[in-house]
Amino acid sequence: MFYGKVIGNIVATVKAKGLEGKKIQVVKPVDMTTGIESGKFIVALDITDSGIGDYVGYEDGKEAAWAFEPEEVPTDATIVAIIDKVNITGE
Amino acid sequence: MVLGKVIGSVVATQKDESLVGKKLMLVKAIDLEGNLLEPFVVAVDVVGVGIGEKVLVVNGSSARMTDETRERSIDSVIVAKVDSINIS
Repeated sequence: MFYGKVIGNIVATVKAKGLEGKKIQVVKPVDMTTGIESGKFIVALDITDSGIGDYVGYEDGKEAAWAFEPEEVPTDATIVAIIDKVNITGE
Repeated sequence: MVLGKVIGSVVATQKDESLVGKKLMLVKAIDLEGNLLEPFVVAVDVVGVGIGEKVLVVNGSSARMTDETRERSIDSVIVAKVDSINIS
């Protein structure tokens, strides 16, 4: 699972059947240890009700599609958790 | 998913049988302001997009999770035509 922050969303009315009714979010990867936001972004579907500004956990690859099983959804990035707190102990 | 822009199409008469009848589009990744970035892919269009349009592209095995691409040798598919990008 990757850590990121929702910075926006995308509206797309013409899309593959599997994307119907799914929220499409824009997420910036964030370094969990420093909190620094990456310059890059990805586009992810969302099974949570996260909003702009929320810190989230997202899956990529085939696992992103399994978040919707048994429905067949063509996605390679899906937000699967809203992260409330990150506790890092040790060195 | 990758935010991209359709910059062209690809014609290939000799190809794997599972690609017959599939529309092959050339898509370049773009940033949030719409500037073209380096990476590009040849993606199968299952939505009906035109050149110059902003799209979402899925790569890897998830690309085969549509009726049009299931069990075909396809690892990149255009799954949406972007209407608007809302960033705040």
